[in-house]
Amino acid sequence: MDKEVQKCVDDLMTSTGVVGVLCADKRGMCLTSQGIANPDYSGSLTSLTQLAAAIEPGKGDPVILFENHGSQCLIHQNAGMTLAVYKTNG
Amino acid sequence: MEELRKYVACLLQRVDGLLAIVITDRDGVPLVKVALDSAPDMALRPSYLSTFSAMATDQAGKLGVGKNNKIISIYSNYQVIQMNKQPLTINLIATKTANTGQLVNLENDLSVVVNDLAQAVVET
Repeated sequence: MDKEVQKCVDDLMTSTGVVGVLCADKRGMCLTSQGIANPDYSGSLTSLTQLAAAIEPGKGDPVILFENHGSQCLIHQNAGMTLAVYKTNG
Repeated sequence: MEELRKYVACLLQRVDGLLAIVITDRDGVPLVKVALDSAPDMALRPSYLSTFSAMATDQAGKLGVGKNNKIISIYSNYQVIQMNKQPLTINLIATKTANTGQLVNLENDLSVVVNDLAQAVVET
């Protein structure tokens, strides 16, 4: 089972601009991380998705975007799994 | 010591659902204990906390994957995270819905406290 998850993450890492990917479970425990994604932050990333979902209950899981001058971090939770993708701009 | 206790009390606020932080020695005797009223009393007793350092962590180290660092126990209503910082143990007691990843990450902040206390334990 983890081979399929890892394959998906490997495919994501080959996408243009992607420099890091992190997957976490509903408890905030890191399932896998690659690139610049730090597994220590899996708990905080999961917590952010739960807080964001509480802003508009019943409207589905939002996508969170952190953006700075040179990079972005996109975070989304689905079916209890949190996915964070780190990208560089351009 | 009071400053250490205040620092640990601050950490208690950092994660939703965290009910108690107890730093103990090998016998489960608490050196620093900070707990909310809602923390389960049984989980704070030396008779429970000592099972990690007395047995569980040693046995877990015999599984062929190296020395045991931490054990996370999820119960029906609570979760307990115990971290091996020999000769001391960090014990975190939280609700079952608390973010386990964030709780585990508190190890970095608590290591500062434990390192200071471990010096005192060794010297005595």
